[in-house]
Amino acid sequence: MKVNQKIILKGIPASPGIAKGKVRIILDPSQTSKMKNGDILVTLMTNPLFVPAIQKAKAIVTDVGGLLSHAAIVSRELGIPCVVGTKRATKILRDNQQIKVDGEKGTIY
Amino acid sequence: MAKKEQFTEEINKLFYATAEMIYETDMQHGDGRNYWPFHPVLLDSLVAPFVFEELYRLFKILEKRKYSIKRIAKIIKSPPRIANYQYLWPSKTLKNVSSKKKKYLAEIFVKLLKILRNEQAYCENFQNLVWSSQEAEKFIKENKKDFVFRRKNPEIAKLLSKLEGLLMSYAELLYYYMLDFSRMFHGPYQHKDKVIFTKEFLGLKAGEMWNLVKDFPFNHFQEVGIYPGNIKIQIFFMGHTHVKPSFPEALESFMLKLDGKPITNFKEMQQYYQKTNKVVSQIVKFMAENMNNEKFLLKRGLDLFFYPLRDLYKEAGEDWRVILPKVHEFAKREKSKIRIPNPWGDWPKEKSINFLIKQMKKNLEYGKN
Repeated sequence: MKVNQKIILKGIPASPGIAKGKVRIILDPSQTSKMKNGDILVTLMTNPLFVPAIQKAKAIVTDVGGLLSHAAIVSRELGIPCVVGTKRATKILRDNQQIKVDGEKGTIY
Repeated sequence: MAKKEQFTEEINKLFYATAEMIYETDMQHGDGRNYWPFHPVLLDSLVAPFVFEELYRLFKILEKRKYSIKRIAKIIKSPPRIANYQYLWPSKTLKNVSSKKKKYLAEIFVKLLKILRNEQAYCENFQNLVWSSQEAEKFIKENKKDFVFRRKNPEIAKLLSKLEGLLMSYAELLYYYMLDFSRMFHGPYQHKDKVIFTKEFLGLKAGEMWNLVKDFPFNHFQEVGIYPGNIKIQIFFMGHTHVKPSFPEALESFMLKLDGKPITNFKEMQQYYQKTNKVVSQIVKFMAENMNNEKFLLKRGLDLFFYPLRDLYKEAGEDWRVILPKVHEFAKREKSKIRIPNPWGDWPKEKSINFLIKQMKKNLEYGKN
């Protein structure tokens, strides 16, 4: 999978690990059926209604939230990388775009 | 140290720890508006006077019956529960509770936290010490045969992390942002050259609070994990954790008990996972359909502050639900008067904490007589 090595976005590192995959922007829990196994969930913020999407996600990236937000705490249990508080992930990233999420540095490539 | 000075010092520590957590949860990387499904100031303000009055009343009943503070602590069981009620201190509606009662409660909260956390009430050194080191050792020794090793059983370990991820969301569906009413993570405890860390979820089969979850497959989840000595786990006052590397990545072995029953094989865990997933999927669907049903969401949001006190009520010979109509009535009347604060912006930590402590101290000192 080809991923650009340039940093596209920075946020708060919320759960360590590195994952590569396709972006899936989900702005509302009603869109969770769009999510495919191994996609990277990109959203404004998650809440428990995002469970079906989170179960399929390889990593999570959110616009808002901190270390104690829903996305952060759930991803730490699942052991998947998570970057929160990027402010504009849902604006900058596009569906199907190949990205790399570094949950330890809080960077998106 | 004189009793008054000691009290002041303890209150300062309690309020500082609380303010620091409010800063980290609500103010540091957002403005609290990110909470689901309500801004915490709304629910906290609506329940605060009732929770404090009820706690005062229940503690007094048990005190009259000569219950020791240790016995009361044992009934409450979870220190994050007591810690999370501290979120209510800045609520302006606490003016409805007398200063005398609030001072009594502040003192009891500190005592309970000290007992439940082996003297480290505020998670000093980032530890939540529910067990003493001897108790942790004893637990490992007594349950040795039920430990599952990740290397030999990678699939079951993977399923465990999926189950825990699901429980985290479930706890939030049940208790909203007060998910630590259910989650009780504790440790880290040193075990030879390893680290023990325990994850528990309490009050999961909460059918009395919400009929839809009456068939949840278990009420109590307990996982005791063994990790390499170099894992970095930090646990905070309200029960949140930071960990590096991630728990699933670092886990060496674990012991899982559901309602006290050890689960050691994949098939059995899978059955529990499927049952859990079924209930969670049902309530996710139900909640999604009811996201505009403010009346329902608010009622649930109010009730969830009292359900964790169920055992205290029971000990006092009462039902936890009796108080609810009064709370609902108050919420109906006062909801529109609760002012949600403006976004905090980029307030620095010290400024935020000082602001909150000032508010909490004001609430402690003033109240109706």
